[in-house]
Amino acid sequence: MTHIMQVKELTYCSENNGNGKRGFFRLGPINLNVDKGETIAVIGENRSGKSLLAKLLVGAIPADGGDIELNEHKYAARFAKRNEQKKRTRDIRMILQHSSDSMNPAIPVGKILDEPLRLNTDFTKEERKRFIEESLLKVGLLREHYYFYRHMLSDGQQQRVALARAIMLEPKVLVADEPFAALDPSIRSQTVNLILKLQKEMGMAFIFISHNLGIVRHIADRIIVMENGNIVEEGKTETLFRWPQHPRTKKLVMAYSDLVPKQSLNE
Amino acid sequence: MAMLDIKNLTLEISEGDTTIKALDKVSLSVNSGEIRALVGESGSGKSLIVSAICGALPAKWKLTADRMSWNGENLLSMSTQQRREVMRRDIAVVFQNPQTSLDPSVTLGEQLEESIPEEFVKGQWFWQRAKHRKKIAISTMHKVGIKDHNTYLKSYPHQVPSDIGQKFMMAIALVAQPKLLIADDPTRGMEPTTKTQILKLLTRLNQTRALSVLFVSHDLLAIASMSHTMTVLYAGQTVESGKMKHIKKRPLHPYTKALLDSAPSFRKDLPPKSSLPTLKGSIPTLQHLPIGCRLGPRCPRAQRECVVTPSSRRIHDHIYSCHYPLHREVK
Repeated sequence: MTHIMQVKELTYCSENNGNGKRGFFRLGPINLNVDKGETIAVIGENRSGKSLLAKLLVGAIPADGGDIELNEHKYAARFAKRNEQKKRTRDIRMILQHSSDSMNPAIPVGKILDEPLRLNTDFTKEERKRFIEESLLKVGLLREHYYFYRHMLSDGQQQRVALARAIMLEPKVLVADEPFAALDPSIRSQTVNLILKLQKEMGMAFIFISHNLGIVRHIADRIIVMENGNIVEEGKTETLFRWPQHPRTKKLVMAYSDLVPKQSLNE
Repeated sequence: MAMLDIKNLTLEISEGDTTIKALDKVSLSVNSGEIRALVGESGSGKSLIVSAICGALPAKWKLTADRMSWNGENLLSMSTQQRREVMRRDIAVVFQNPQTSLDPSVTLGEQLEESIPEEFVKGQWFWQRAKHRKKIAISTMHKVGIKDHNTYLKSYPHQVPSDIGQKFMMAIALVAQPKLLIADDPTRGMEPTTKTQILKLLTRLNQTRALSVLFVSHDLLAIASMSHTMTVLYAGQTVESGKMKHIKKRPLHPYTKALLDSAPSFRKDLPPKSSLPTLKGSIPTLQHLPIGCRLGPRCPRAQRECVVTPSSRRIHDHIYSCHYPLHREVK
């Protein structure tokens, strides 16, 4: 199995303002391999650096050291050159936690989706428009939604737009920070189904952060457990749920199974 | 006997010349010593019900009910004074968002001490009373699982992380030893360990002090693990209510079934990565509510009769309102 993404010795230090002062939060060093079409879940307590890791992976925050290798293409995580950065934005895309807050309320959906295309591809205006409409259909919206503004869409639809924006450039890796947390149960299942379907079609790897261990268990191939900025345990989903090793993992899995066992439906 | 008894609660909001029925004949009751879950997605009016119970709705919204009583006393015809007394001593509310419902200009410690009823504080002189008040505050904080009381008593709401804020809301609610606790989505955005802690705390209080809890949430996992009875809301209508055990085993309303199916943890036989069963479409907004049964357009079993609002039917203590419930064959 070939890895499509390899993360080596990724580190980050908050409050690191260049004069040698070390801050109070350290992330990493983190090593991580991602296979093609794989789903990886990141779990952990609050303030364990999960969101930070996601942002470092997509390059939203520059890291202090380490390498990210994607498709035999190496990015030094620290000194990202402009053209490298461009390649990277095409290969790794992100869904933010609050999809509604990450959309500009003043421009319609079509414009929002147009931006990544304009910046990253050489499509003409008509091609772009056609492409956007195709993407909208792909995530289960209608062509008309091109002209809609953010406030006209429901939560689930906003999530779909965020998803469309993420998958439009056909990334190799999709990173999502709590994509399901703000959604209602029925919309959540719709989104889960949609992501599963798209992943199957496009063969992209999917890294996501979640507190909802039920969903993690359902869709993840591999789980990473984080504590204080470090990966403390990593393993196949079932193995990790059945035989957790690290105390932190045990705590999380216990907390989850505390709620579950009483509720087999056919008791 | 029901402590809180609400029958056919209707809330009408007028906007210009249109009237929207935000709540449509909602019935709900909480017996003493039970944990009642109120389940519904966003926009189903859960929080409106909570506000209606504590009387925090704007006066121009029209609230009518056949019955809305607390221990036999009618809440709607009560004087403000009496109502405030009930709210202060008997019913405690934990609101959804701690950061906005705590006073930003006062320290958490002061807010907590303020809500301790005078008769709990022992001591003759003011310094004795102050000391005892602080003692009560600290022990309540420990009870809800805040360990570091010295830092948090002195900090302001914006300085604490949101899960501590949430626990503080709980502490403030519980310090007056209420008979009913209304918790509006108390576990939202919490990590699993903290969530279990909070749920255990509620369960323990329910068992030791016979505290009734109205648990408002859409986290079915949390609800199923602790509550005795459940009421399901959809777009301002009560859809089904009854014992947790019965509903989980055999939901009668299509919506309840969809809701239960949406949580993958409920099902052991579900193969990983298979797609989850869902209802199509999305939750209607208040401006565009369908007539009749509001689930109508999304319901897989909908037929022509569904444009008429179904009346509630009852099998033992399991109440549902649907024309074509799941235990009946559809022609």
